Amino acid sequence: MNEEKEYLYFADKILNGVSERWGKKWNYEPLEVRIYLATPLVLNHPWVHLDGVLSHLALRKALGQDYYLLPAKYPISKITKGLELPNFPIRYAGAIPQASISFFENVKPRTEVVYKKLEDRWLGIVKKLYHGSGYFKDYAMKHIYIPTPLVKFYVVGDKEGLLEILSELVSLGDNSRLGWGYISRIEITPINEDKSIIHEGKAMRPIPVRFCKSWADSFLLAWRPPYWSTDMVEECVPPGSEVELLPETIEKMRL
Amino acid sequence: MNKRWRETFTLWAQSEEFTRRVAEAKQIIKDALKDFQKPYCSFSGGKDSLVMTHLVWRMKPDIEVITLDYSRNFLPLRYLLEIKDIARKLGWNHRVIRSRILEKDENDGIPRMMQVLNREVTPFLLREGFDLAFVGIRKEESSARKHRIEGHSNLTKIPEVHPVADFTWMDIWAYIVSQNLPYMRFYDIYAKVLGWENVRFSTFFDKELESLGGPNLDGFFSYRYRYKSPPGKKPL
Repeated sequence: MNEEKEYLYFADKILNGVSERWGKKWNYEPLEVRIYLATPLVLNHPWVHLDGVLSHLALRKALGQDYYLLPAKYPISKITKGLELPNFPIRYAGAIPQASISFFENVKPRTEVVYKKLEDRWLGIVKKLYHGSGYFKDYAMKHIYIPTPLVKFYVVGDKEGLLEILSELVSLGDNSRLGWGYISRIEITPINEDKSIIHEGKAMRPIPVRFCKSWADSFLLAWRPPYWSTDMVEECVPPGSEVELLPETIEKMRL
Repeated sequence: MNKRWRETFTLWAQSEEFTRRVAEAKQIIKDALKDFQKPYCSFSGGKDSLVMTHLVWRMKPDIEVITLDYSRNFLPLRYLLEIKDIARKLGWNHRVIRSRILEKDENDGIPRMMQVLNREVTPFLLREGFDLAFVGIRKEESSARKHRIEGHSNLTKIPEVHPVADFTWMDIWAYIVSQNLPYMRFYDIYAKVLGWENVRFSTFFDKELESLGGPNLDGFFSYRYRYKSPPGKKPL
C-alpha cells in the first residue's frame, strides 16, 4: 500500500468510527473524575492528561485491530490533522481541551528497577549471545512510580459519555503490562466550579501563551493530544503556574 | 541536601578513612604535577569531577579546567550555565569546548562519544599542548571504569590520572560538604528519589541511557527541558 492510500484508509476508518460513536449532542457540565487505583502508577512525565487518554481510547475503538497496523513513518496527528472530528464528551474552549492534568493523593515518587533480559539458556543454541549491546541488550531500567490510591481530574464534559468511554480503560500510566496503574473503580461527580483550565489564578493544564494575557513561567510543552507528538509542542504555561487568560479565551470557556 | 545528610557527610569527613583517601589523592596529584608540564582537569560538572578539580586546583591554581559542551541535544542550557557559574564562583581558569558532532546529533541514536573524543576533543587538546588529563572517575561507579583505572588504559592519546579513583560516594559528598563547594542543583532534585548514593550527572534525554531508564527519570524531573527550541529561536 503506498503512502497516500494508507493515509486515506486510516483517515476514513477514524472518521467513520469516531462519528458513529461520538456524533451526538453532549450535555456539558463541570465534573470531577476520580480514578481509584489498585496498583501504583508508573510515569515518565509528572502528570497524565485525561483528554489524551480519551483520544487514545476513541482511536482504539474506531480502528479496532487496525490500531496495531498504524504507520510508524509519520505520527497519527498527520492523519487526524485535516479531519473534522465530531465533538468529544469533553468540551473545548476554542482549541483548548477543558480537561485538567492529573492530581494525585500522594505525590511522593519512588523508583523501581525493571530488568529486561533474554533468557538464551532456553533457546537451545550453542552460540553465545552478546547481551552488552545490540539486538539482545539487557536492560536495568529505572522507573518512577507514585504509590497513589487516587487520581483526580477536573473536566467540563458529559458524565454519561465519559463513563461510557472510560469503562474501557483498565489502567493508567506507563508499563501497565507489568502490572502498574491498574484501575479498581471510576467515579464521576458534578461540581459547582469549572477547574478544568484555570483555578485560583493557576493553570490546571498546559496552556499555550498565545491564549494568555500574562504568565509567571513558560516553556515548551505538548498541549493537545497526541501528547507524544512534537507537532503539538508549543510555548505553554505549565500547570501550577500563575496565569491570566485573554478575555476571549475566558469567554470561550463559558458554558 | 537536608540537615541529616549534611550532618552525616560532615561526620564522615572527620573519619580516618576519608582523611587517608584525600591524602592519597593529593599524593597522586603531586606526583603527576611533578612529571608533566601542561596538565588539564576534565570537568563535566558532576560531583566526582568537581571534587577532583578542586583537589588539583588547590595544588596548582593556574590549571586549565576544560568542560565539553554536550550541546543542546544532550545538555539543557540551564545546566551548562550552572557549570560555568560553579567554575566562576571557585575562581577556576575554565574553558568550554564545543562539539559539532554532538550539535548535529538530534538524539535519534546513540551519541558518537568516541568519535567526538578522537576527532574533535583530543586533536584540539593536543594542538593546545596538553600532555596529561586529570579525570574524575571512580572504581566504585562500574566494573568498566574499574578495569579502565586498574588497567591504566587511556581513553585517548593523552595520558590520564585518576586521583579520586578510590573514593566512595560518601567520600565525594563528604568532601563537597566539608569544603562547602557549590554543586549542581539537579542533584538535590534527583537525590530525593534516587538517593545520594545513586544520583549521577550525565547527558539528559539520552537514548544511550535508555537501558538504565535515564530518559524516564529525566522525563519526570527535567520535563521542562524535554523539547528543544527550534533552530534560530531563543531557548526557553
